[in-house]
Amino acid sequence: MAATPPENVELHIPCDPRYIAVARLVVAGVGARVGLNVDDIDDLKVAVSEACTNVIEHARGESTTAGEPAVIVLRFIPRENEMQVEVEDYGAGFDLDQIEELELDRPSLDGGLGIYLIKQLADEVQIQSAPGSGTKVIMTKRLAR
Amino acid sequence: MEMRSCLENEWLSVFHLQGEIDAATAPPLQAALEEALGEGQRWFLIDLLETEFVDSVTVGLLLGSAKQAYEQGGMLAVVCQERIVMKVFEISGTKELLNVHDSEAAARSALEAAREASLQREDGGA
Repeated sequence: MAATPPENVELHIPCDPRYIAVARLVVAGVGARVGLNVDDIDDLKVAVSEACTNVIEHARGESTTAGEPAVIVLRFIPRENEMQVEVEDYGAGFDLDQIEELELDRPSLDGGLGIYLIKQLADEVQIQSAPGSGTKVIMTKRLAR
Repeated sequence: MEMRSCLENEWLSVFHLQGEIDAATAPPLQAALEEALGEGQRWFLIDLLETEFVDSVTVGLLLGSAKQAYEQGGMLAVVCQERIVMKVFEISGTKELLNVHDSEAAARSALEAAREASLQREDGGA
């Protein structure tokens, strides 16, 4: 018997703030499909928006290979009891060790607020980055029980 | 985002914002607030009762305006009821700094009380 195909959704948006609203629409659509409630979808919409804004504000998408236009790639991965969203750019990346843990774990009004909100609003957050290899923020929101 | 702003009386500027405020839609709001501050206005009511979405960009620009209003002897107050909007102010730790209220009456009372205190200080200092 053939396995059920995955229902992953992948979205490529320009590195332009006008397209962040499109990402939020997909969060709402896929989130409802998974069974997230309205409040959890709202939380995830803010978290995903912040991740996209971070890419745009830090211009991490500027240096793409072969002169291609900068894009943000979002992957929406529905699972049985949770939804995972990856927000990836192919820009300069950064050395995670150089970011003080404190900046990520408390609100900083000098630019770290976006990451702080992501950490507060998603149930699980991973940030993968290295100089020259882009950045991927992986957020997971679990279904309320 | 739809924005309506008016100088409601001789002292209070009211900004009604409808829809979603993010990095794409915030610049007109920032420009309007900066213009009002540049004209010497210093008492602001930011009405987010019909706002469905705010983010760190929104929080940052409101904080900047609130700081300038405060430095000019005024105040900025926010009214919102949408759960996620209030939650962003709460978890960012800016609910008190931005005088966020869940009713327009409460926000207006806070502004009126602060203005009254300001007028008394000015009279006392005269």
